[in-house]
Amino acid sequence: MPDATPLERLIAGLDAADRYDQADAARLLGELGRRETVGPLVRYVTENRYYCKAAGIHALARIGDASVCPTLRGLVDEPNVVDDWFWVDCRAVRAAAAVALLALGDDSRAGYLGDLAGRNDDVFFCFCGPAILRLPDDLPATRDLKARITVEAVGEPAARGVRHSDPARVALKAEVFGLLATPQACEALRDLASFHSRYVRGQAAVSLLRADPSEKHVRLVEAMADGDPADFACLKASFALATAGRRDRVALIAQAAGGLDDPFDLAVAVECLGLLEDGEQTGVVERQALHADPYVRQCAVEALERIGGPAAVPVARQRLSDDSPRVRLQAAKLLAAQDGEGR
Amino acid sequence: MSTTALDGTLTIGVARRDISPPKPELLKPTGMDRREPTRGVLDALVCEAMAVEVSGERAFIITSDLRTIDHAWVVEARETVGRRLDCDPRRVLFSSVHNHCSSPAVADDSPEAAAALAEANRKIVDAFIAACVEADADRRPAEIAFARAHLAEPVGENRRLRLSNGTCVNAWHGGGGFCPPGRKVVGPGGPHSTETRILCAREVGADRPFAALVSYPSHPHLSAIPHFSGEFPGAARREIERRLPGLTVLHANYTGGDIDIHCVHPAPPGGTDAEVRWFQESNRLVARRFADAVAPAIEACDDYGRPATLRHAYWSRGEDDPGNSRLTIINVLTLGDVGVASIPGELFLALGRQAEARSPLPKLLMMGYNGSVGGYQPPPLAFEQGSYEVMRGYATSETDLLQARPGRKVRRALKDSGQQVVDRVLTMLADLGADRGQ
Repeated sequence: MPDATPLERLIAGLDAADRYDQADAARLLGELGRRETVGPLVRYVTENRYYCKAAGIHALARIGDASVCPTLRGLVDEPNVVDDWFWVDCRAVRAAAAVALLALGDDSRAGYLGDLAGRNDDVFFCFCGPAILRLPDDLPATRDLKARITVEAVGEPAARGVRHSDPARVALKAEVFGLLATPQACEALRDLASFHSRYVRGQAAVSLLRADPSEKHVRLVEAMADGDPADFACLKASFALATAGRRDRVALIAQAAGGLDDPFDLAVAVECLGLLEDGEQTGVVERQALHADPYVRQCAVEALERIGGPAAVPVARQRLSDDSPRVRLQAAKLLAAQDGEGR
Repeated sequence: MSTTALDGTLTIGVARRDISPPKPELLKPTGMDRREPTRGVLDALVCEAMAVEVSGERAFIITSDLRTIDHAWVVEARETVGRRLDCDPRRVLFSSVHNHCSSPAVADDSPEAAAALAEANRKIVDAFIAACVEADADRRPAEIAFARAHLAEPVGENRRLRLSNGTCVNAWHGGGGFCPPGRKVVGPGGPHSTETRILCAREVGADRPFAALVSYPSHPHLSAIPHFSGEFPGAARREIERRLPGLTVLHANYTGGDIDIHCVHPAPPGGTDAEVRWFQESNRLVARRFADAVAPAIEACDDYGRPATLRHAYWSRGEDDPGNSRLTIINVLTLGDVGVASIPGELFLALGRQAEARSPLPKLLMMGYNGSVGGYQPPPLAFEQGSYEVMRGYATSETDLLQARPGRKVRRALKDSGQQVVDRVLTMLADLGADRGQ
């Protein structure tokens, strides 16, 4: 699409050949927040039959156009995905639509989320827990649902009995605890700081300092940053410290972003630099926009947008012709965010 | 470990037997729970045997359309084959394709269902034995060739999806998995299954092979239709045989614990009849893709030879107490520079690729689900990432059984048990190579 605008490229991404590219286009359109993209997103979430279309549902909530509520109500009732009744994904798509409705001020399907909570479903407490806790408190139904997400409720054994052993679920639990930010939540996070999965430990560090950056917790996270055997956990702990004001940790993250061998860990380091929005790290991030691994390049373009500065647009223009569709989409989003310039 | 080195003439024979349950309506396939009664057998389930002999030393390779093989069946079949055919029982290498539309269980608690299950299982064991006997009688002077085929179109894809927080979720039904708001998708949690390995056998001087052992890692796991079926492996086998008349295909699955047939999903809406039609169409589609790679590779084989040695090594543990042990069987056969390894199920593909890369015999074929009980066996990092396969964590000791729910204990893999299988296979292959002075 050499003549397409960045926004047109993103919208066209909803029809990409790969389902994950489609979902990423939807995610980026949500971040962009343009109302003119609502129509294509509605078509995507209605016609698409993959579970990952939940990214489009979330995007519609972020854009904030309440005219999509009838569509979202329909998706709660009939999500147009395969009913994987023994697993979670169909319910998660329905729940995502119910959460999106609440974000748009429509509580007509809050009962579905309440039913999931009543069944002690991981979809409510883990997969959608953070999204529910981030909802505004303006609706009574939202407040009621949030009140059901407690440390005690999340700590209950769930139907398949894996809420406390599957790292994917436990990492989301750690995110939930960080948002709850109660003393009990912090206690749970301190326990998770020694979980067997580095990805859980990393999230626990971030959540702990988000919930309570007390000296005691800073010391615990410092020990993780300096002594965890896994680079990922060290990185996330350093990021948590930097977010809590320890700017001396930024240099360590930048060092990781410049030299880690594992592409995923390196991408996370680049992502962290973007989230810290430290303009001094632009050079490191810019270099990784040329990394051999496409996810590293994608994170680099995303980080450049967050950091801003003069390097971002030229790099994004260059990445519009990247081999990876996901990198091209990320670049298009950066340029579209510059008011559509960068054709 | 026992090894045997012999010089002599290679002979090979093959046979196939039907193992479809005689009373399917009283039974149900296992592996994915069914929500409605079984309607019947959609396409026949079969097992195959390949008999191989060099100078009077024989071995048998069994493939089957089953999900799993009971260890008791292994014991009965190999002992009977050994006795009837006067060979070492441990030289029977078992495998199943892990087909989730097979391996019957009772549909209800009735005595009729119990009798139907006993009859179905009896048929399976008898078929294993009969196929070996027929294959032995079918042996003829032969030569073998090894080939690799690269799939140009998707068949088995990695079914774990990595998210930007480092964890993995499953992408059942090709559905992409649910990515929680605020997270990005990184990509597949491991490699896709894009290569198949093939051992061809033809009569000496013939133009075409009469048998091919095809080894490809993937769950056959399309959907929980209320039928018994050979699933993708059955369809692939039929399609290759249709294109290459006179060929008997033996299909093996190995190290496909994180691989699934995603490429044809999602299934269309419309109820069971529509799902069954989609299931059949999907099987034909992936069979066509598979045959497009495999059939030409079989036809292109031109390095046939007659290895003068058959060597064998066997390692197991827990066979004296299979119900309560971490039963593991590794059964390795070499024919000249070709290795065949029968291993437990559910290793992840990355470990299979590692075994192939490190193998002292580059021409290595593996066959999984051999009657021992490994469970999902990933590389250690996968336990930290999560997903269905590892959602209960890893066992901390050989005797660690998890009380998953009341009345149900689950045996989980040790953190390094997959690596242990790989290392054991490679050690056995190396020892066989050292034994022949290579």
